[in-house]
Amino acid sequence: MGTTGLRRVEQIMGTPVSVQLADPLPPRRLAALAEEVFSWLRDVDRRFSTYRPDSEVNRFDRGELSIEDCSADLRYVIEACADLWRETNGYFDAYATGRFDPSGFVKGWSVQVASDRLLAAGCGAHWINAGGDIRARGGPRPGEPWRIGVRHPWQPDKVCWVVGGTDLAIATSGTYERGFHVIDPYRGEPATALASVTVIGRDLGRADAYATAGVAMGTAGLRWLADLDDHEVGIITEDELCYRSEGFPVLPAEPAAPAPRSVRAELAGWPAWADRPGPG
Amino acid sequence: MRRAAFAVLGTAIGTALLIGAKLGTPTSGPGTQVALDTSDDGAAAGEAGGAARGEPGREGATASPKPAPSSAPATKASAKPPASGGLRDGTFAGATANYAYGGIKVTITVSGGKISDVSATYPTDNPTSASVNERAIPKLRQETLTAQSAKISTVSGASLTSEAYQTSLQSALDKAKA
Repeated sequence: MGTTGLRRVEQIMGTPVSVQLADPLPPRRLAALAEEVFSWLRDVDRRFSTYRPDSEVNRFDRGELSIEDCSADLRYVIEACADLWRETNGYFDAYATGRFDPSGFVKGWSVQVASDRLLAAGCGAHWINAGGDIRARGGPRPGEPWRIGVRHPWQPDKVCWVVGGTDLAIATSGTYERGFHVIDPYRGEPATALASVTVIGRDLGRADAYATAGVAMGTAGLRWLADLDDHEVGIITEDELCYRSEGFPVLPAEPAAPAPRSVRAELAGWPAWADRPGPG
Repeated sequence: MRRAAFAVLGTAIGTALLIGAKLGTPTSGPGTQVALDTSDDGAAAGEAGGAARGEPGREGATASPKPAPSSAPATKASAKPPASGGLRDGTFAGATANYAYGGIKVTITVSGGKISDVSATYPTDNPTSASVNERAIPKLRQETLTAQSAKISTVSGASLTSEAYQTSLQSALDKAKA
């Protein structure tokens, strides 16, 4: 697509994390911003990993850290997981494995924080994709939204929807990845009725938790997801039916021909900072 | 037998809103049914209650099971002896039960002592029921699944493992763009 800027991929939290920065900033500035993103995510991985015995999460889980001694980040995560447990009627459960494991929230939350920091640093055109969960802002060029595919559940090289936006958090949970199971906590068995659930909102940690909860609910998740306030949903059932909310921002498979520059400049939403020289 | 049938009726009504929603969606066929495993009746009922949490149908389900008029349940199909699950094989239609949003009629199919199918009908000309229908699969638009090769910046998909990453679209795009 001829996007300018910087693209970088790194393996963190057991998953590939891709970062695209599209602002017209000097290359060294872009590289420094990308490094800040990865540095933060590596730090989160160290502190929140359940695989590192000395991680803050494990010390809290073993009772070696009281809630007062936890970092502000961990306290925030603990409270958010409790809120999400209530909101999802227990279908999002950080204690599902019998111990405190907030991984299902931490990935989306940490990407959300990284994106917020990019925006605050003057980089408002970017996306971060952590294992298929994405926070996107701005677009590849002024006036153009990012075009984001929703993976086809059974054809890894195809997409079933293309969605567009200049400010969205999009998370997809599904039953189709090998070794990936969402357990219905009420039955203790993997939920299989919904093959793929995509939730679009503004907060990636929340969108990710809702998508996971929706899969765990099975057929009942259709209704629960449809009733979510301030979120758009796209669902593919095991019998290959697709459902989407009215506001789910689907785009045509092929992008429209670029509008003349004068028209593009009038498109709503492209912020004034686009023409501002970068701080670096 | 009848007691067993009505024991599952509560379960079925919890599920019925969902099925009814499908029935009420013009694009979905009336053959849509939900299979329930009732090997453990208590667990199944709890599950349906959980699924219906916060829905008006649940109150209806607990309020409505009045004793069935002796003539109401129409039983067709064969009447095999009960299997270990305590249910007789066959197709059983429950009496129309009234709940907060109108009447609902649930039909179950039992095979091998377990419920293999549940279907429900309720009058769509009842304005209250119709509004429930619209809310039920409600704000969702149904489409057929498509597989596209599209021009995109990145892909949303369920947690990709490192192994899957090698063949994934995200990987291909990363190679093309890095």
